[in-house]
Amino acid sequence: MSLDEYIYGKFAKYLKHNRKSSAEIAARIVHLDDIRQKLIIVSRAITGCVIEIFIAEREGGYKNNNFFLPESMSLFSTRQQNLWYYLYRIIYLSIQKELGLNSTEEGNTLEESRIKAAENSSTVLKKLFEDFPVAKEWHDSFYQQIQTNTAKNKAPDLTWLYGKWMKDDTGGTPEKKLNNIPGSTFKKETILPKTILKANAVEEVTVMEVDKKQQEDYVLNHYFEKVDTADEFSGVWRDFDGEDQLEDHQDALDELNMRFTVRVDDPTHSVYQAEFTENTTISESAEVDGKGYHIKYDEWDYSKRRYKEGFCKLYPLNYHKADVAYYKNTIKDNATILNNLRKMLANVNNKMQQLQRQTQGESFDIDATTDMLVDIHTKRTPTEKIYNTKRKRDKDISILLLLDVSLSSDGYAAGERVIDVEKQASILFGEILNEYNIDFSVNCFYSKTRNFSNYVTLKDFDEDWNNAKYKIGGIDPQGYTRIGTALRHSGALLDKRNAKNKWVILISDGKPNDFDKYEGRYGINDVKQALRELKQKNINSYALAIEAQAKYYLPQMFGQNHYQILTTPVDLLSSLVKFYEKLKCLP
Amino acid sequence: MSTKTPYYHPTGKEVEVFEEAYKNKIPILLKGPTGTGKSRFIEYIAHKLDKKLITISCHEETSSTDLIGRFIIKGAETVWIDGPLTQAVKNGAIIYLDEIAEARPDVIVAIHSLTDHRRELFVDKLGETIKAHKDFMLVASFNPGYQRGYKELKPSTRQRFAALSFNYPKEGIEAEILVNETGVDISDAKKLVQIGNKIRNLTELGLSETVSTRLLVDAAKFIHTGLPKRLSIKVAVVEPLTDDNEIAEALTDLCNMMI
Repeated sequence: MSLDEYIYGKFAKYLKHNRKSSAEIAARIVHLDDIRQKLIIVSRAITGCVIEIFIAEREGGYKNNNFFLPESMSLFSTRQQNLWYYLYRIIYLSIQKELGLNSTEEGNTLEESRIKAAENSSTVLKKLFEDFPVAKEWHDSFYQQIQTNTAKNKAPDLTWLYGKWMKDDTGGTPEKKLNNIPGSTFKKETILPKTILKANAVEEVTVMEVDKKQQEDYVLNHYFEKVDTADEFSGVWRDFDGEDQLEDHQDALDELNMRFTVRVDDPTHSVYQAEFTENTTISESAEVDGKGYHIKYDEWDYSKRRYKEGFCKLYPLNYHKADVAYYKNTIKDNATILNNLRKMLANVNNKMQQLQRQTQGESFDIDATTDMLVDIHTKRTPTEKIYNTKRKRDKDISILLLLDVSLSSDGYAAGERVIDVEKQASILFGEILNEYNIDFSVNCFYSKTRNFSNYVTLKDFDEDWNNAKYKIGGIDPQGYTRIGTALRHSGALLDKRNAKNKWVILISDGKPNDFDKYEGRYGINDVKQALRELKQKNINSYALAIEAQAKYYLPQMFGQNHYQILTTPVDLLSSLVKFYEKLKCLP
Repeated sequence: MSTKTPYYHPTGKEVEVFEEAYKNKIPILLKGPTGTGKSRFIEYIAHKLDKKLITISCHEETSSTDLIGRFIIKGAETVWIDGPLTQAVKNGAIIYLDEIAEARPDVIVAIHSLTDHRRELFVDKLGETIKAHKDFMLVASFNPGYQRGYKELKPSTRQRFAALSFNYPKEGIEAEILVNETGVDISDAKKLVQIGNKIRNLTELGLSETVSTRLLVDAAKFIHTGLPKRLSIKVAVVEPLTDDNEIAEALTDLCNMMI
């Protein structure tokens, strides 16, 4: 930072600080963030639309279903009045929206849009006062105060009351896309490799670590004699340009000996198949200092038969993005499945248990009645408990659904996108579990090296399903699959529940793998170890895998009877029912 | 039976339908969310037809024994007592099974033979079959929005009933109902109905049930007998709907702005 920047920064901070330091203002200021939730509810009730509320640059307005309000308000003399101001703006905007008074053309200046708003305010106010009697009182009081606060020679700034006009976006408001990062970084399946070439056989391949520093420092080197050729790794780093040029390089590749490979997080553009013996040593990622709240978990190293202590950092996250439409569509599209599921579960759930010697019931307990008669004849006070009855058995269960949302779930199995099957199954199953009042939680996980294992809670055990159900739709595939760490954290979460029967249900589509060394036998053995830890904590586990190949490694990890392989994703729901049945039949 | 006709404002052709159903003795299923006037309707119609009404509120533990009857022990003897359903079948009353889906499956099986051409009740414990009185009629209510999984009615049961759907009345009618039911001012009644409709807009709030006419009636009663308006709405509408502070606060603000 240069000196002038430094001074400017200090100065600006001072000014900012000074502006807010007044205790008087602090006592009456209202921040939008504190009341946003409430305002959202009010505005949704009034308009009947799914309104979102955002912070405006200044006075704000509305744009489609988005209301823009000032970040904070301290213009009026009391805190209550400033609170009212927000409510006033909400109803004002609702009416304005109802009347459809907003800009239609692009490119109005701020001045113009404010004038427009002020001109049309009388129409809005008329209806406003009619519908909401209290608004008149508020408006008049605000108007008064603004007028008295303005210097005599200036016109009162009424934009606070009437806002400005904004331009409705046609076709909805898509989420903001990151401009500088290609979308392909997040999505795997958008680019399918078109070219597949076979490589020359090599015996050993060494994996190189990406040296980002050198890559950045890469000076544009032109090897003019090698245009359109590939070269062997010679210690010079270049940027991965991510083009499908494999065919162009074919001739050159034939000449090439593959001895080094590099792992990158770029999507695949071309596939170059090489046969080699698997003695690659995948380099481990170096420890990175974690920022934010995280929990360290051990990882099992099967070759050394010991734990690597605190090896993985897990970030428990809460998810907030809701996708209401996704939930609704899922329920709509699967109404039949949901009903069938209900029926199946009802059968399981309605199994009755005979209870004897009750004070009331449908039939007599013969033994008890005989005893009673004997009592009567022997002049003893008989018992009243002479009936049999049937009751439903309530199960004391906590279930934790664990979804694998790694990039591989973006793939398709039997024509259905795996992540969608996972999401829909969790929504439907969650719906049912909620109806049956079962303690459950929905979580998903993805990772990028041991330093960033993310564990996202979509529905916490004590969270209301009616809030959580919308969140499930919002999940997108990302990252890799470090199952062990996620299982350990699930265990820790379940450990806090009081239920007698605790279950982790893992819904995954693939085997353990991660960007750094977490695959093959290492990964499988770590998962196995994590499951053993669960067992010790008296937590049961069950795995559902949506992939035919899973049969090669699921038994290794979960053991007989603790997994199910689904060849098509549609089976998932019926498997969940089967699982539930199994659970109910337990003593 | 009370001599005063219960107040009921028809919102459609339900009265006509019911009268025809009664002539033909076709069982009727009343569907609809809580507080839409299902129970009130059946009271009204029973009064109109001058028939005795026996109401049974079904719950999870309601069994066929509770309906049909049971043996009790008296001294060293067992004595049979008719349940309400058996009484209704014998005497020709209208029996109203409120929230039938809540009851246990054996209840539903027990009424099956009453709902078709046989019109008879088999009392298994006595080994007797009782033919239904000519005036006997079965009415059940059911709340499809209840979202209780095992509380779906089986199609085989549902098809034994003709069904009437109940919903919240239109604004004008609802206001009229409030006025008639409570004697509140028409302007207040209109406001209450508007508030109700605004809250009904909020489908995704996580309220398992939304504002029913019954809640609005309660609020109107409070207002009519002199409780301040805003307080009336808070205690009669907002608080019964939600336990979530934030939502309650938002709804209170909303109501306060509108009245």
